[in-house]
This record gives sequence, structure tokens and C-alpha cells, in this order.
Amino acid sequence: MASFAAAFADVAPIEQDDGPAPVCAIAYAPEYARLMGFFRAILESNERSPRVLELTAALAEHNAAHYTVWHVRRECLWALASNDASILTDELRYSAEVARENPKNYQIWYHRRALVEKIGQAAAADELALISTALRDDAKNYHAWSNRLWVLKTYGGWAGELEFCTALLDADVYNNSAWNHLYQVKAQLGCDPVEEVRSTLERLNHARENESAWVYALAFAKSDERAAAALLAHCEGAEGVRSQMALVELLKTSDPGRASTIARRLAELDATRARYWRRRAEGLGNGT
Amino acid sequence: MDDLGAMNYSLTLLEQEECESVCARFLIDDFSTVPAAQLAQMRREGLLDEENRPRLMREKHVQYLRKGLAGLSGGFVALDASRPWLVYWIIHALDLLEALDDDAEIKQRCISTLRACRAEGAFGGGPRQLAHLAPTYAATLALCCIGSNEAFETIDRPALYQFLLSMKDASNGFRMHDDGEVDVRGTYTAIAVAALTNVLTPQLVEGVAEYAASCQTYEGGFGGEPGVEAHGGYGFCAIATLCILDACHLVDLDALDAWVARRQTSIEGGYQGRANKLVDACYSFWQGGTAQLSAHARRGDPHHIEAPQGVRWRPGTTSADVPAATPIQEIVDPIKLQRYILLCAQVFPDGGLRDKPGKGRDYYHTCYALSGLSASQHPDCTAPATVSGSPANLLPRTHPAFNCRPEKVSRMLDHFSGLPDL
Repeated sequence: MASFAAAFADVAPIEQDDGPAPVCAIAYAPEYARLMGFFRAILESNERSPRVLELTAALAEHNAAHYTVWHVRRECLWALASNDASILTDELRYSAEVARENPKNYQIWYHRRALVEKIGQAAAADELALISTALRDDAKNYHAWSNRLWVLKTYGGWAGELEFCTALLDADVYNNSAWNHLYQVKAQLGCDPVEEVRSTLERLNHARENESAWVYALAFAKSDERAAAALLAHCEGAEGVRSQMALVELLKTSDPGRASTIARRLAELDATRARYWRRRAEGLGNGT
Repeated sequence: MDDLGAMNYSLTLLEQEECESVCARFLIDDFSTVPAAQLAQMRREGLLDEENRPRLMREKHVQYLRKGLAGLSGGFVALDASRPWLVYWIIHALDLLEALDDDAEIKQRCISTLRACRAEGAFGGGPRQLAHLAPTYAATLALCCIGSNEAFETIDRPALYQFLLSMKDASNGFRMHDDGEVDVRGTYTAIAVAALTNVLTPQLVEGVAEYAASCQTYEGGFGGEPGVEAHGGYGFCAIATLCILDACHLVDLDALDAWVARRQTSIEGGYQGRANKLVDACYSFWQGGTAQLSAHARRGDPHHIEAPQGVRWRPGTTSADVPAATPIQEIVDPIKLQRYILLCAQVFPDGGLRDKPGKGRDYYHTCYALSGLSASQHPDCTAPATVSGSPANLLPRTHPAFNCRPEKVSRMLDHFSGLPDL
């Protein structure tokens, strides 16, 4: 802190003005309040310099969700990188560390995206690696998955994704994020819907009531008759509630009467959704 | 779930089982089986009424909320860029508890604090912060809760409109702030603010409904961006946008209903945000609101000139008549949800509400658990309310698209629709 006071000795800090008798005022730690005093002055002066870069890092440590701080940091980076490109590679390292410490923070993941965008293709592989690490800690991290899809859509690299999804589903077949990603990858690379149903049913062997897998299989059955037939063949005589739910979808056009009867039965088997199943049953006609 | 028997290790299943067993301990069916001393404490502290019915601990929640307005500890620094959110979460919760309207001093101080957060015609997360769509939305809703002309006049409408336009991206999504992320939160916050302030111009809305619709996935719900996993918070943003813009025909409502119905957990009774994730009380509103908006859309409300009484989507619609519509058909279990909120989410004995047992209370969860409680009590403005536990738990209604009390929404729409077009 003393070093910041010295580094910004020429800057007159600006205090926060919350207006009279504010509500929800935060009792800031003295250090944060002091740093923010300099930061507000920088917002006025638009200074873009190494010391401002350091100031933003110090503030992000107090509050990683301070989007204005991150915005100013990016402005500094872009300004300084025009003379020294290594600034951006340093930033990749630094922000990876912050992302590890704040895995659920919007600002840091957007910061990564903006940084990769600035560097371009060369940063894409590293970004996928960072995301893989984040997903090892939390396999359902929403920001990490969103950024992964963005990297792939922007820079390619889809080929390695099948193996990536398989490994995550082997680790936890209930990971819905991994199923969603697999669906996106298959849509991109192309696939045989019948094969998708077959391999999903294999995964269902040991996880009979896994919604994620059922919904995935049904998506292919919806768009492909042969896939629908394969799934229907499995569901006929299968045990469990999810297979009955799938039957409602698979039979709703070809045999609405039977689909309605099953929906009516589901109103008892799946009592939390009794209202939903009754509505489905009514919508399909009277059944038998 | 009996899948664990297969001996396939799954972190998802282990966490789910643990969560179910913890919640089950709170979800007591018959309180007469509780030891007498404990029962007496539950009644004394207000968790049960004189007939041992679960009770909304109103006094405790109001106390907790007012404490937040009075001031927050240094630990809240992580919300230093969310001050308008704190104001909205607290005063909307107070409004639902009918503890806001008579408090002129608090309303005045809220206006003054929000005024200090103004930036570029919109609002930032705090004084001198960059204008950002999320605090702009929160501030607008907070001003809606306050509901006075002075509150409305805090908004510089032409400048706000310019800000909203400047956030629109080539994708027809909205950027959260200058040099910020684009996702369907941006879409909803921009469109909700524009609707409430009557600046939904053709230029602003062109292509926006299509962007929101493009976030629907094969699961039936919506992700934050096209192709990303279906998620309750983003799903609400998408369907609320589509309702406000009268464009629900662009999406598969059957698939959405199936998805949202599946999000109610069977043992706990609350909602999860995504498939195979744990229950969280905040989704009581995000998912409950989604189910309700979808039901309105199915019934055709947004497509009619008359929205149901008290539920107005945007300026220009009137609420004079309730159309002779069929009652809304619920797809979820309101009693189960309310029991989760009352018994698992209420923090006993201190008050405030939380994500789930084992977590601490906070203002975000207090706001959205109460909003979800209100939404589930009033599935339809034409039908009688459904109240679990003590009859005194009944809350006033909240608007499913804006999450403020409908009469407050009407007041704001009336104010801004009286102003000239830009």
C-alpha cells in the first residue's frame, strides 16, 4: 500500500460520493478506499500507464467483480501493448491465475475472451487448456463451458472435443454440461443419429434414470426416424420412469392414445409433475 | 435415485443424495412429532403458527432487510459494483412483505443513492462507475418499487435510450457495458428497461426476439448464448424478453414447459437451475417465473390487446378487462415449492433466506425466494391463491416479466407512456 501512495503521490485522490444518507453503504477496508480514491482520479485523467495496470490488479484482488476496473485495465493493456507485445502474454498468465481464484466471476472470463480476441488464433489452444483445467476443478462451470464454445466457434479445434467429452462423461455420466457440449460437437462434426442413440443407451445401462442422457437421445430421435425407431425399440418393455417419459414423446404422433395413457400413468409415477402429465394426457386425447 | 447401486462413481449423484437427505430433515410433515422444547422455540421464533403450520417469518426478514439498508460490512466489497442490485433486492423484498410503502424516509434515501450511481444516462454499479445494463435494470426496478414521480424523474429518458441503443451488438444481442460481454441477460435487462420507460422503438427491438429465441437448446430451455447449456436464469431472461416483445411464437413452448417442469426436484421440492444440478431457492423465481410466463404465452395473453388485470407487458396495453380466458394450467407443484422455501430456505431463527440448508442467507436469495413464493401463490390472477402453511403467508403478487408488484409496474408504464415519443 505504501508503494501505491508513493507511486501516485502526484495524483489527488477523489473520494466516493454516495449522496446524502446513502442506503447499503459498504464499510470499506481502508486500503480499498484509498486505492479507489486513486482509481477515480484515473477515471478523470484517462491515464494509461504501467502504474495504472498495477492499481487495477490490486483493486481486482479486493473485488474481482469490479467491471470498471477491468475495463480500465484492458484500455491500459491495449495502449501499452502497441509498444511491447509481451504485455499481452504476461496478461494471459496473470489472468489465468485470477480465473483460477475466481472461477465463477463474469468479469474475468470476459477479460480472457477479450484478451484471446486481441491476440488471435495463437492464444486459442492455451485458452482451451485453461478451460480444461477449470473444468477439472468444477466440471459444470458455466463460464468455462461458454468460453469453450466461443473459442471453438471462433478459432476451430473441434476435432479434439469428442475425446474431451468422452473423458468427462466417463468421469461423471450425469454431467449435463458435458452432454450439452457433446451435442454441439456432434452438430458441428456431423454424426449418425442411430449411432448416437445406440451409444447413449449404452451409457444408460448403468444410469437408467439419467435425464441428461435421455434428453440427448430424444433430440436425435426427434430429427431422425431410424433413431426414433431404435429408441422406441429400447423403451418398449424397459424399466424405469424415464423410459416411460420417452415413450410419450416417441408415440405422441404415431399413437397419441397410448401416449396419453402413459402420460396419465406418469401423473402418478412422477407425482411432482402430476399437473404437467395430466395436461399432456389431455392434450393427447383421452387415451385408453 | 437408485443408480448408485451400479457402483459407478458420480459426483453428481453423491452430491444429490447428500442434498436430498439434508433437505428431508427440514421438510417435516407433522410437527407434532417434534420434541416439545424444540416445537416451543419454533413457535416462539415464528417459524410455526399456533396450529403448528409453517410460517413465513415476516418480522425477522424485514429486520434483516432493513439492516442491509442501514449499512453493510467490509465483506460486501465483492458487491461494490452491484449497489443498485442491493437496493433492488432489499426494497422489492420489503415491498412483497408490505413493509416499503409507508417508509417515506427509506424511499427518499434509496432515490438519492441510485441518483449517485447514474452514468451516461443509465446507471453504474456505484458512484463514478461505468454504465452497465445490469445495474441499470436493477435501478429501474428499484425506482419502480418506489413508484413516485420523483423516483421516475431520476431517469433521463432520452439519454437512457441512447445508452440502450449503443449497447446493441451486430448479433442483435446486447453488450452489458462498453467493452463488455454479450449474452441474453443483456437482452432482457435492456428490453425490460426499455419497456418500463416506453422506449421500445423499432430500431431498438429489431432482431432482438430472434436473438433470444436462438438461445433455446435441444433440452428445451435456454442458454446464455446460442449453443450453451440450458439454464434457469438465462431461460427466464429469454422468455421474459419474448413475452415483452410478443414473440413467443418463435420458440418451442412445449419443449420449454417440459424442461421447466423437469427442473422441480422431487424430494426437495425447490427448483434446480440446470439438469442434474442441486436445488437452489433463487430458481423459485427464475424457473417459477418462466413457467408462469410460458403459461401466459400459451393462453395468448401477450398476443391480445388486453393483458390480464394488473399484468401489463408494456405501454399501450390496457388492463381494464380480464379476457374470458381459460385458467392457467400449472405444470409444477406449488405446495412442494412453497414448503421448500418455508422450511429449507428460511434461516431459522435469524431470518433472511438462503440457497439451501448449509448455506448462509443473503439479499439476492431473500429477494428471489420471496419473489418465487409470491409467484407460486398466484399462478393466475383470475384464480384463488394457493398458500402452503399458515394462511398469513400470503404475499401480494409480483409481475412475472418485471418482478415488481403489478400495480407498481402499471404506475411506471402510465408515467412513461404519458411522455412524448423520442
